[in-house]
Amino acid sequence: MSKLNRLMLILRRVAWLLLFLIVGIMLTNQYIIYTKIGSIRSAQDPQMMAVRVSQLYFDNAKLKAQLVERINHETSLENSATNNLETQRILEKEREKYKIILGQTEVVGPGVLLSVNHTLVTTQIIDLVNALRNSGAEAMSINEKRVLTNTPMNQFNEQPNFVIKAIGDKDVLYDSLTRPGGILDLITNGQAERQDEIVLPKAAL
Amino acid sequence: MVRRRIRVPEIPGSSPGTPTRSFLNIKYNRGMANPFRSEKFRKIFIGNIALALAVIGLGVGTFLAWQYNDKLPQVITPAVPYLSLQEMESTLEGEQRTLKQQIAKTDDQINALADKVKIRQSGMKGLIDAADRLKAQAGITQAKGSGIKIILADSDSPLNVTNAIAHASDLRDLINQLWQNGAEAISISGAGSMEERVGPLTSIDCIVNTVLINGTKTVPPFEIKVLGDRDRLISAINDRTALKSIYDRVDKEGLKFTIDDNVKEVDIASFTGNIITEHVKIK
Repeated sequence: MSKLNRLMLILRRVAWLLLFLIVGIMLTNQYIIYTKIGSIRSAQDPQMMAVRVSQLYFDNAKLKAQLVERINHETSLENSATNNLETQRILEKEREKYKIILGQTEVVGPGVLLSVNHTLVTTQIIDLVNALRNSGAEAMSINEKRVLTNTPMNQFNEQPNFVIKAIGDKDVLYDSLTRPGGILDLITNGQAERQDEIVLPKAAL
Repeated sequence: MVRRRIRVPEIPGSSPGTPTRSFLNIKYNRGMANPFRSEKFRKIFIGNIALALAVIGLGVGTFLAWQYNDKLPQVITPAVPYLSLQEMESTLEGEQRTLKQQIAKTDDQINALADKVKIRQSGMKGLIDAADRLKAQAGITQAKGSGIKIILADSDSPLNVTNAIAHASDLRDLINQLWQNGAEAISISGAGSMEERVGPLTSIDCIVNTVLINGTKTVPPFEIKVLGDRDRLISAINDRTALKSIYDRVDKEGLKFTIDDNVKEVDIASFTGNIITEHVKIK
């Protein structure tokens, strides 16, 4: 076998090796991508996942703020070990927070006022309250009754009209309620307006 | 290896065949013209294999360099942004789990510290106890006692029918019915996810095939633990009028909705969702 032939043989083998290497890489790559494409169940999936990701960002930001607040509270409590007045101040502040959440006090803040001039069925009220919570409502009332964690919505059935007040970021609340396909479009057909100051009554005992 | 022998016609201008070796498993008879050994072929072939190798080498080099540098995939198919979102979602879910665990751990530490303060600063005992009661009412502490466990799951039917699956709206309706009938605390767990207490700012939303509870992604089957009077709660769950949408689908589509008879006592996790109130103040 001449040197040239040997060289050609080696080159041929190298060429085949490289060719198969490339084909192998490309086939594997395609297989991986298309396996993952298979998990997309509908054309809406990427859009919906984008919504979920954005919701996660929003929720995580709030959780981070909450963690910082809890750590600060712990540190303050620790540092106030020998100072009764400081301990009292910290505990009062903590108590106020829970009193707001539990509706034990009249509260105030910016938000939206929603008017609906027709009756709503229980499921519509449930969905509306859920939509407000999802949009960041921190406190709300329906027809001047505070709505809390365990408030059943059946009590609002058959009422001829509704005034729903929600405290939170007024722009976020307004935009999420009134956007096309938002809760107002879907179920209530009501009027929403931003308010700089909304007062909510304390919950009835 | 079987080698085929073929006869190749003589090509004018080529040198007569000499003892040959196979090329691509083709063996040429002595005396026959071998086109692959012709000067013309050699020129072209040797020239081309060098060219082919150069092209392949360039291709591999470009391909590997592109793969190496391509940290963020480019939009070459609709799947790529989807895959990036999937990866991002997974990262954020991990972050969310960690944050919730850290909040729960910090709350435990605050409770332990408050117990110490009660001993050290006895005048503060009343305030600490009052705050603890409020926290329990708000669901920030664990709750344990008599109760029921409900299972809500998709139908086993192989048909992909919307009515055969458990929806966020089913959970919302069910929770409303439970509050209406004296539930003291409620939590929901999806398959393989953390137990989520229904708390002050809880929302339950559906995004395609998943349900977000306190911002956490969950999927059926759902286990709903409820603290309260068992008889009253069971009666509420069996109310076909109040839970019409669920029962209609149980009957027609095989949606699963049952009470676990083995569970008489429930242990409900504390609320670890968001309770930050930035805008609302005491008047």
